[in-house]
Amino acid sequence: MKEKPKYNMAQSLGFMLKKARAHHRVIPFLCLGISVTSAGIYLLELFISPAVLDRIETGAPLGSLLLTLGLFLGGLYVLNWLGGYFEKQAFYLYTALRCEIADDIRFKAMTTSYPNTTDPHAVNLRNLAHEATAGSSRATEQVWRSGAELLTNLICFCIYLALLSNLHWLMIVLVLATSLICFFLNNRIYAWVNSHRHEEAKSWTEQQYIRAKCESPAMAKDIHVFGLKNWLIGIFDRAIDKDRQYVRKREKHFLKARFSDLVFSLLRNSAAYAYLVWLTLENGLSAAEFLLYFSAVTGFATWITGILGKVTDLRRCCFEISNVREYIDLGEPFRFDSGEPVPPSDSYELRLENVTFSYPGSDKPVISDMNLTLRAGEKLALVGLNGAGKTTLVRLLCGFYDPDRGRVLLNGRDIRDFDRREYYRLFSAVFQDYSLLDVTVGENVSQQTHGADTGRINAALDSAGLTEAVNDLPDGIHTHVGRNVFPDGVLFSGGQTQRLMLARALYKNGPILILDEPTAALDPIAENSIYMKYRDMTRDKTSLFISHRLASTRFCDRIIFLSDGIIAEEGTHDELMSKNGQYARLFEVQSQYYREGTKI
Amino acid sequence: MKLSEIKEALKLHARAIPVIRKYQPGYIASSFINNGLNAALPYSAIYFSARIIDVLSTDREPKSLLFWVILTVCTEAVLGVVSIFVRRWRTLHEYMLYEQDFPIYTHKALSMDFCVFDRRETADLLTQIDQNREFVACSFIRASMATDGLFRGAFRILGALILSVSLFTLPVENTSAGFLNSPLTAIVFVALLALSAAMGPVFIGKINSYYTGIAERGKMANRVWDFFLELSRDQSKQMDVRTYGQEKFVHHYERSTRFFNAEVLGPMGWLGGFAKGCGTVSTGLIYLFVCLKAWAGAFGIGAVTQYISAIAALSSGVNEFLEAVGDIRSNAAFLRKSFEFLDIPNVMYRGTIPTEKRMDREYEIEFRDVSFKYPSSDIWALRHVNVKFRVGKRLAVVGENGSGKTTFIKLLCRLYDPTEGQILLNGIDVRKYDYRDYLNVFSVVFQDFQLISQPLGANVAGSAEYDAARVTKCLSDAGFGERLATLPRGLDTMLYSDFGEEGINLSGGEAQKIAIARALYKNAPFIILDEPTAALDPIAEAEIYSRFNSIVDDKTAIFISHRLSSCRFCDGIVVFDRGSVCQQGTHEELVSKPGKYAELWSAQAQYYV
Repeated sequence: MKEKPKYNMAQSLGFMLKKARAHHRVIPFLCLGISVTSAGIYLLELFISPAVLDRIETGAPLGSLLLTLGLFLGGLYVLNWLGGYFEKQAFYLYTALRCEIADDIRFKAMTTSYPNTTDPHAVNLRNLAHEATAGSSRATEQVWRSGAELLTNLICFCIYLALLSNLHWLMIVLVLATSLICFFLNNRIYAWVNSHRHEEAKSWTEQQYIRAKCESPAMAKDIHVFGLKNWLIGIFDRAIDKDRQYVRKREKHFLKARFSDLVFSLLRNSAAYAYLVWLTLENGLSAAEFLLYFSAVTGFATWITGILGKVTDLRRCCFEISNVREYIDLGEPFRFDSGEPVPPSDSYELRLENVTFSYPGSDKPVISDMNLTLRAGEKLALVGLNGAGKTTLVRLLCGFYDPDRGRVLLNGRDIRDFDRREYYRLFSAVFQDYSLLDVTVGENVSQQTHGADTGRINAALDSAGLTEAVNDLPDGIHTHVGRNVFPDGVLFSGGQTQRLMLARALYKNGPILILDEPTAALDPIAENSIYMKYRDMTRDKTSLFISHRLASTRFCDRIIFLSDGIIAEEGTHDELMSKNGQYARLFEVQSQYYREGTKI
Repeated sequence: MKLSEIKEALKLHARAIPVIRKYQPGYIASSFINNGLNAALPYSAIYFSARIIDVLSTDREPKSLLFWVILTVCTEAVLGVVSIFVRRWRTLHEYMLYEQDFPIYTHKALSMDFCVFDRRETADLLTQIDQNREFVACSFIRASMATDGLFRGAFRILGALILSVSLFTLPVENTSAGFLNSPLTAIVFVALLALSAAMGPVFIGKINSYYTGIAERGKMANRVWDFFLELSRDQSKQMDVRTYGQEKFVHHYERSTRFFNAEVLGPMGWLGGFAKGCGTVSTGLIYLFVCLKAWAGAFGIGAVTQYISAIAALSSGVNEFLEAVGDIRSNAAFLRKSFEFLDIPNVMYRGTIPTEKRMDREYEIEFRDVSFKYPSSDIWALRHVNVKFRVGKRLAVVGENGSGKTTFIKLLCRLYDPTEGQILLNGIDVRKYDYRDYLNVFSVVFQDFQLISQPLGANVAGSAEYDAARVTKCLSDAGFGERLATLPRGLDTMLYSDFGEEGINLSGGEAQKIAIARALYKNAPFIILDEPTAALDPIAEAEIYSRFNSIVDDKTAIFISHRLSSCRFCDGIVVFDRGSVCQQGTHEELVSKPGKYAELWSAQAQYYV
């Protein structure tokens, strides 16, 4: 809470009003309705008892008593009914609007320039924005409730103030003073709670983490084989106990706050009793008037505290909303809609020109002054040890990062000029980290929500060797994948998932094919059959194949051996072998066990 | 509302109480006392302020006014102080409601046989329980809250009754309103009041059942929400997300499952209105009856304020009580789910024979005609498997994906028991051994081994206390020694940052080395490596093989691998094909014969020769 929000309260409220106007324009009016009805209910409840007591005390005729009762009760019924109705409307409308905003945040998170997904500032903003929309109690919903309640408190405050103006001004000052003192004392306690919130959050994170591990099927095998049960329960218990310690500490602070509340409310009530009893005896007020004023004095304190409390709430909400707005408006280092369209062509050539790149926040170049041309229609293999820079090179070629120095060119044009989203359409890729969706098999292959071509889906599945497995599924390509969303989803093995990712790349049929370790989880026969199809898959395409298994490089026109961010060797397999350099040595290590007669 | 239904709900609730008392000790006692005190506070205020108004509306005697004012303030002070302490005690228990709910299920999950836990139904139950909890407070949490509600309602009713008894007993003086003295009038009044008070819960019940009716949709919407939230912030998926434009799925799926829309709201709006309105009807009845009696001279206006407040509190007390009963009823379905999970029995036979702790570690394992089907599957995952091996050998298990290799390992370590046939350890059926003792014979590095965000040393030892020297030795035997030397906090270094503490990140190869160290630390005679090299580059792979060969010394090592180069190390090779062992022998024997092994071998070796 220390940091200053980028947008002030008015700007944040304006943002919410704009969102409401775009999606659910009734929301602000609903807030107004809710606050006016609840203020009305408070006022009727304040006056009903004194009014009827007055009728009885003065011995009014029955008709007049019943009329008074009827008017008050009728009013209360109408207002209560409206209040109940509005509340239910608000219940879903607030949530609906929050979901819209959450959608905007997700869209931003999934389309923002790739460097923003790792930039700590952007990631932090994204998490805060997610937080602000994570549930009904969060800022993007709470802001409406806090706003409506603030308004109710303000209305009641004004009316009570008018009522109390009949009393001595010292009485009003006393109520104001005690309420303010209590509020600020309490605020200090809440400040403590706020500054210790991370303790609470941390132990919660710990608990949820360890619980998820204890209940995860993958972990269960290790738990049984290594007897980890007691260790895990111990960690869990300690995490829960941390929480308990935190509440103990927190309650110690609250104890003080509650004492001060009690002392001041006793002070206020004693003074009110003394003064009002004196006033009644002195000025001959009726018992009904005594009751009215006494209720008004205690009630007045509530409104003051209420106003202060709701202003604090509203400010907190606006602070969080400011994060949402800041994230949605976060600047894009890449061009999207403002970029040029990618000129259509039969073939694409990618070229790195004097490219140097280091990851943000590090000055160690991962790629150093590299020149590399991936010629149109060429099959290029990329090999090297872990950490040689293979994945980084792929990220630069695919346009996920821009180089620090030098350029990445597509058919001679700097890719920075293009609409990056359109540029991504050129690539059919199987990355090591894949995103399998919990939707149907068919949707996973086509990556389309509408209008996918079933024939092509089947063809892609067939090329990836999945036809048999998919045919065995209860609903074929309409079977759901995964168990996170659909309880009836199918769980694919690692090898099958890899094939599915391959099928997806084939369906997309982009002119540039990138395969990063596509066969790591496959058995030798399956791996071999993918290799055999490689030539078919890459026909008329520019392709890049990255693998640890040097066998695969045989199919490629050219091999790049990467080491420490530079191209150490390049050529065909035979050329590299005869060079007898690093590639040959690596090949030697891997192949020694496959050759007969090698001593082991 | 059927009686049998309520009876069953109460029975389940009664079953939940001991669980609550075990996992939330103090919750029920603190609820009882806190609610009693919470009822006493407002009722004393009602009583005293009525007395003051009484005096004011009659003789206005300053002395008695002073007496009542002082008594009011003093009572408020005493009760106030007591309630502050009770409240603190109470909060400690209330706050931990969710925290202490999780272990109920986690402890059960940890005590299940693997084969029971691994069932799809078990996972489904656990998921449902979690999702329900996310959607509404339910099961033990709601049972706790409902118990609290019962106490609250009961105390309120009790206090209100004490303060309002005289309303019915005091007669009116005005003869024209004599009917007000008749017990019949009182009965009619109470009946009407009860009716109007019961109407509120009826409307609320309608709203709740409407809500329950759309709960399935709600849960679906929550699952979609959670999935895409995770997708949008999982860094490792963002390249794929952009390459394939996956953001379109968010919109599509969230739109089609979105739970909050006007159509779903249905009749909730006006039901909500009537539910709120009902309260006013009760208030009206109370005012009417009390005012009539006062108007007719039964009591003074001080008493009017007392009765009105007391009876209003009475009806809200009844409301609270009924709501708590309603909660107990609607909670029955959730509790049934929870108990269904907690009551799942373990099925494995667990013998008592200790495994022989021979110093010479002579062990012999035999699979004798073993067949196995996964529960709820009709397909034989293993069929008539006969394998025999002794300690001190290197064994390779090879085969295509899905041929039964991993299942073989699961049976070997008794994560599952065979459906048919026997597994023998030194000639005795493994089921007859003490389970823990038997598991101590094996160490496994599973393909999807798990390290957790805890200190390095504890991960290797699988416990918070460990022999630091041995852990260090195992780590360096596994090839992690160099990295360990660079870690300033040594074995206390936190792995990963998921636990909220800054920890180190590990590459796939490094994590694997730690997992191997853990397997070594266990010091079991059999050590099994399932697909250990998938994430490694050729150099690291070669290093693991040669290192492993030297560190397992007198132990038996079993490799499962797709890279058949590992077979060259091994004394024996078992080849699986479609659930059966199709070939067995040494590399030299198998490679020259036509068969599965030769096929697998040449598929890979052709590129290297």
